[in-house]
Amino acid sequence: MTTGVNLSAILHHPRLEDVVVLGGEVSQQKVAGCVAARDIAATVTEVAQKVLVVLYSEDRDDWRLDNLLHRAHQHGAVAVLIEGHAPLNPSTTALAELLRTPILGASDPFAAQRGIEGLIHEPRAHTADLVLAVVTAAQQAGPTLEDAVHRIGQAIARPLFLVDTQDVLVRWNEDISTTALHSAVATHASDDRRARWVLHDDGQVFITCPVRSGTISAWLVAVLPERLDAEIEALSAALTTAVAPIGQRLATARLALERDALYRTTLLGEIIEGRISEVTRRRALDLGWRLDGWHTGIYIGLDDELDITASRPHVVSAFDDAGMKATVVERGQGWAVWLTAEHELSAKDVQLQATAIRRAHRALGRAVSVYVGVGRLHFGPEGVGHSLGEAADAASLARQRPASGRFLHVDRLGLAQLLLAWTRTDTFQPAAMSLLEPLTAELIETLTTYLDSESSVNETAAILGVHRNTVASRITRIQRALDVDLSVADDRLALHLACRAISTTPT
Amino acid sequence: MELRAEDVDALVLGAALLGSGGGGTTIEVGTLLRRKLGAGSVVLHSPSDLAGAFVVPVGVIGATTVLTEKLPNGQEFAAAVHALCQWADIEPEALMASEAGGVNGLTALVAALELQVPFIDADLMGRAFPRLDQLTWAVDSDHLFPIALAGTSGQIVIIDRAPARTIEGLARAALRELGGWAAAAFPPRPAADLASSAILGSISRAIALGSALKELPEAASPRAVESATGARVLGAGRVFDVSRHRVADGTFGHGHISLRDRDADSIIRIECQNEYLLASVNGRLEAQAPDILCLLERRKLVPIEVDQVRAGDELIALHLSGPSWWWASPARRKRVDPTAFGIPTLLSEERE
Repeated sequence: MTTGVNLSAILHHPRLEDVVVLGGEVSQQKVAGCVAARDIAATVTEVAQKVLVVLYSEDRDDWRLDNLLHRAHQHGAVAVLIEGHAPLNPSTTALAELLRTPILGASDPFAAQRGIEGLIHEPRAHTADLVLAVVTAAQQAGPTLEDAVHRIGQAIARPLFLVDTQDVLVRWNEDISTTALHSAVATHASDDRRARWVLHDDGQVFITCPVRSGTISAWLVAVLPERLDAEIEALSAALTTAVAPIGQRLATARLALERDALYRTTLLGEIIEGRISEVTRRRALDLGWRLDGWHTGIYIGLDDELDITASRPHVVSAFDDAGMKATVVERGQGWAVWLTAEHELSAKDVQLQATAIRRAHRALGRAVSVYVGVGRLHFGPEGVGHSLGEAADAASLARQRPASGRFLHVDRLGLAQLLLAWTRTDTFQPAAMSLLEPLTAELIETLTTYLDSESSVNETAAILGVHRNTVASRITRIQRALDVDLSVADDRLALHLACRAISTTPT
Repeated sequence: MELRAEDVDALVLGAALLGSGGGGTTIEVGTLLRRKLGAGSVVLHSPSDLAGAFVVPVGVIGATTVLTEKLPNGQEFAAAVHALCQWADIEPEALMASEAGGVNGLTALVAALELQVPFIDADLMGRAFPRLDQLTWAVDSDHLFPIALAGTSGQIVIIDRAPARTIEGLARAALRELGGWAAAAFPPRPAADLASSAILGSISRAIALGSALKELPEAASPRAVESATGARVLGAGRVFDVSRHRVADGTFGHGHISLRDRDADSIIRIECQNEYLLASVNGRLEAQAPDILCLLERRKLVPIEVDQVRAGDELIALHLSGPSWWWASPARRKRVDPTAFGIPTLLSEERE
């Protein structure tokens, strides 16, 4: 015993495009099948929960159409389907509304009947048809992702999207928002290979199917205007079929992207290290990089694990939107960016440029968590490396400073802060840790305060709120434990740096 | 029963009811009849009163809309009857109506007063139909000749020895030359024949219906109309759909009129040609010709003719039983049921 399928869902199906509502309201009526009648005078039997399909019916003004509607309604029919799309007269329309039995029109009632029956009784056949259509579409599609998604979308006759965690990679239309697509895939773990579906509040059904290709996680998403189980089943199978051809194109595209990224990174490496040969210059020129002129280096660091190669276009467009033509290269867990001017910038221009960079920073910061450092102006091919070096230093300081908006311009930094920044490198910090390891937390605090107070025992005692003898005895214990002499300037400097480094280490 | 001037109002209403939306407007001929009656009266004889007499049915044929613009003077009927009796070589001993519905429910009375001959309370339709081959005499025996037509300018046309359908065609052709309408006199028959070949008592039925309607107060409820007239109310409400189509020859248009009864939550749809022919309520067949259907203006309770209905009118739809003569055999019924007018219908056994 079937519980039936929503009439409106059936009518939304692309295979039943020919069927239109001529009168009455189509809503959630459940349909269990069709019964054919030769003409409007035919006897009506066993139409309960079914669509009565009238194969020949031309005259809309024949009152027997009303009578047929009455009889169909009496026997529990869901709707009456007649031939043609010509409008009904107002009386018949009003009657269809009154009896809550809609009248549908189809130029080919036979085909409409087959379509409705197929969706209800032969979902397997429907699935097979759709899978075959997807396979054919994928075979005929060109090498690009866009072409493949669009052709497969045409084959399933539903909006189809390719979505990753960040973005909509291929869009079918603008009707479905990026947020809706992302919330649909958010519930779908990428290691779950099966197609799944979610019903949205507005009745739309999102069918998602993961596309895994190496490290990439993406999803194919098809959208139905309304729930129709037969179509959900068929589309799930069709999307699963589409994963292979889409994944293959995704991998190819990704390979090209990574090849380019590697090439850029290597070339930038050569420039930063100052190994700027003729070949390097020519390659840089081929990529549209400018090595001559005055450069401002910018380093954009990422807090989160993010695919920096895939996200590079966002950085480029953030700078574009802020009115700057920037060169962007993947570097470390972030991007090295530089701006080039033909002439040395005035102080005011530097100010303006900094404002523009902040704007780009803000735009990027809306999507992901980033910190930004900006170097000074440097001239010539070597200048690129110099400015980027300063930018990287400034960036590592910026990372620790939410107060500065995680944005630092090297111009604003004192020399001491820069020196200090160097102590926060990955090699220095473990060294500082091991140097101070023999000390208790209390002793480290005493040592730090003592060194900060210019080796004054009295000052240290005052700050810590202990007796000066206590401070003196602690200092003696520290010198013994570390086997150092705090009167030696080198030892004092090393310990002071170590104390500062661990005191700022995020725990 | 006698008809006096004060009964004419009831007859005007009742003949319009029997017209089933057609048969022409009765008001103008009512005025003429009232004038001819003066202080006198006409006796409505039953056929048995005048068993041995030859009876001539009379009436108007043609466009009844032209009739109201070009009113009869009464002498057209005398001219038609005289021409017929001269041709048939008999004396007219009594008159009867050819058609009880619409204008012809009154014209034969005008003619009887004009010719000063007795009047028999009977007709050949029991209501209004548009064609001559829908007279009872044309249906059972197909013997409707000779007939005489008298035009408004004194022209006389005699049609003889033709089947009823041919007579209908010839008469229509003649009407074009006679000025749109003509007085018609039909073949004389012994009054004794009428019991089986005519609808008896149809004029008094019209008067009874009309006076019942006339007695009702303005804006009486549909239920009150039902009990006063013995008719069945199909519904009452506002007209929301009026559709009229011209057929190829441009003569009879067909279409439908639909009203919505808000109280009963129903839609009453009436199929029509010159008359209201079939009524369905919510798609269910409720009544069809030869039964009589009427639309009454809801407040004044006057019958509205087919071509006067407009969208937005507030009407009451009534079903009156038609003459049982027509229902007596399938052959009779088929001549006047909706299919005879090109409107497909269901056989009564298919009614649910």
